[in-house]
Amino acid sequence: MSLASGGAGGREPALSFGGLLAGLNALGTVLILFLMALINLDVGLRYFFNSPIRGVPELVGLSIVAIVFLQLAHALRLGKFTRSDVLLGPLLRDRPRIGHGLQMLYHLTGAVLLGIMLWALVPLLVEAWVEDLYVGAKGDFTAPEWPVKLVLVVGSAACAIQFLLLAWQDWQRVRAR
Amino acid sequence: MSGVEIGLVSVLIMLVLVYAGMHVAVALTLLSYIGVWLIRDNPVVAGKLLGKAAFDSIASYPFGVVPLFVLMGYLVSISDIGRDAFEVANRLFRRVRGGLGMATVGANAVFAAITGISIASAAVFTKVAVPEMTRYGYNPRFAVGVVAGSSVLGMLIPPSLLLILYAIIAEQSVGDMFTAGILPGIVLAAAYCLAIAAMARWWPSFLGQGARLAEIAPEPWTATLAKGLPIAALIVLVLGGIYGGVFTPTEAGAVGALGALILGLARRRLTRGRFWQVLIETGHVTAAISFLIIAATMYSRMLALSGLSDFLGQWIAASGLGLYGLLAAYIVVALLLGCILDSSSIMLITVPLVLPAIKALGGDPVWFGIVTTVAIEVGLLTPPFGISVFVIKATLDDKSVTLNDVFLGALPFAAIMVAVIALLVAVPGISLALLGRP
Repeated sequence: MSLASGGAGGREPALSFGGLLAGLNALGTVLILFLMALINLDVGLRYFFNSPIRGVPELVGLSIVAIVFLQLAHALRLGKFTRSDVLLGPLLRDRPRIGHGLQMLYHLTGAVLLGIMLWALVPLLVEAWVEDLYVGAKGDFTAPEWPVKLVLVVGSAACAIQFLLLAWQDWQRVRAR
Repeated sequence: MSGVEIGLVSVLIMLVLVYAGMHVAVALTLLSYIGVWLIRDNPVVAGKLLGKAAFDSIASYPFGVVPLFVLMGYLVSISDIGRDAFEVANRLFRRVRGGLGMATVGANAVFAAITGISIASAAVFTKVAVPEMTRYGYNPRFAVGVVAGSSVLGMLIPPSLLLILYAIIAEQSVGDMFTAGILPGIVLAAAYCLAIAAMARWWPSFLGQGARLAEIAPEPWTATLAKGLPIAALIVLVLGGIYGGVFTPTEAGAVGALGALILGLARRRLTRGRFWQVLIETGHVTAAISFLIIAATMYSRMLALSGLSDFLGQWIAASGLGLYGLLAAYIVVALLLGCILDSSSIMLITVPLVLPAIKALGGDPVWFGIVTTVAIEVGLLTPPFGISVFVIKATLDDKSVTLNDVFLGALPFAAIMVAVIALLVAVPGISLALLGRP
């Protein structure tokens, strides 16, 4: 169903980038399992022993962001981002040069926006690191914010690069023939 | 240009770009960025908004429900729970004309109470119910139509991904939305069953001329009960837990996912490779939906900044359109958007724009959420972008049933949905009674 199924085409740099994305994705997948286990443990301990785990809400909030940004680029690569193919689908099929030209513009737009997001996120990461920002309350439970912000930066960078790769593939289709 | 004009133009351009095939999240982000840039006359502020929204729009505990309920939905759909539900429902409806169709609706309603994604329901019941119906002489077109029509129950009867999305974007409690979805889901299922009974009586050619009662192998009631037990246990765990105040919705998602995982392992349906596949799939859906939510958050912040939502609210109030006029116009737009977009995108695009006006006119946001959900879900059944229909066609082994057949078969059920929308609008109590609101 997806139009933009990735596929690195066997070139070496793209292939290893694909490997990196798969690795990030697997990390996110493990985090989902961790989330499920953590909440169940919390519920069980609270219900049966009346001793809930500290900081579960904070950890859940942080893990969610990490999960999303670990898997974003991989999802994009496999064509999982939602879009309408009412117009683009027939174009790609019947007028591939126009279709891919249009799609290249879309992918470039995505790359630029993710780049802007990245530009705004890096200072947030630096701030979290330098000022030791944390979530939770001192003396009860605290977790540092920087690991998640690092994931945000890495994830949006990977996603921007993936957008560029897709645009590059479109460009080659436009030039072909 | 004034803020309102910028907001209005950006909404229009966004719709054009979405229609032209730009990723929905990218289009929303782009127009929010440019919109804020123009309103504030400052690209740096606009860029910071992007970075901030990436973190704070999803970094919250309630948001944990998204991956957990998606995971649970995938787990139950590979664990043969759908088949069991169908067999139990089949036994209940076996003496009724059109009983297999009603059994499909009933089993879907039950299955919907443990899964939150319509696509899962559509895939499962295409495999389980369609062969059974065609075997007993039902028209294949009717068979796929029933499956398509009843698959929308998955997103209406809690847990439901769409209700979660609405709760997030409209700042309502997920628990309230879930509670509000129960009665409308039952009403829709009942309407389907009534319609099937009516078709069996007055429109037998649609049902299938040769349709006959299913013969069910004699089986002791205890065996049927044993099939129903795991489903009932999961429903009690998840919905009972939320409704009884034992769990938050996030916890119910985690507990339900664990329950479904144990069930899948106990039935030996879950190999390691398959489990990994389910987890990867869950991650992709979560990432795609979350990116949409991040983008929609920026977009609604941009709209608020532009003053367009407030302006629309005042304009509609002054125009004398009234709550019902606005709702009617909104439902028509939602139905039209359903022809080009998937449900979650429509919800995230339209709700930030319209909800302030609905509130200003005195509409209850929870009630509006339910009406919206059903209206958007009609789009699952209508061409050319009816996702449920595509899933059914892709899952179906039978090459003689065309995509066209599935759309035509689903059409009467889409019409019933529209009638139920009218009922939900006219009687807000259906959505609000369980919440104890008037």
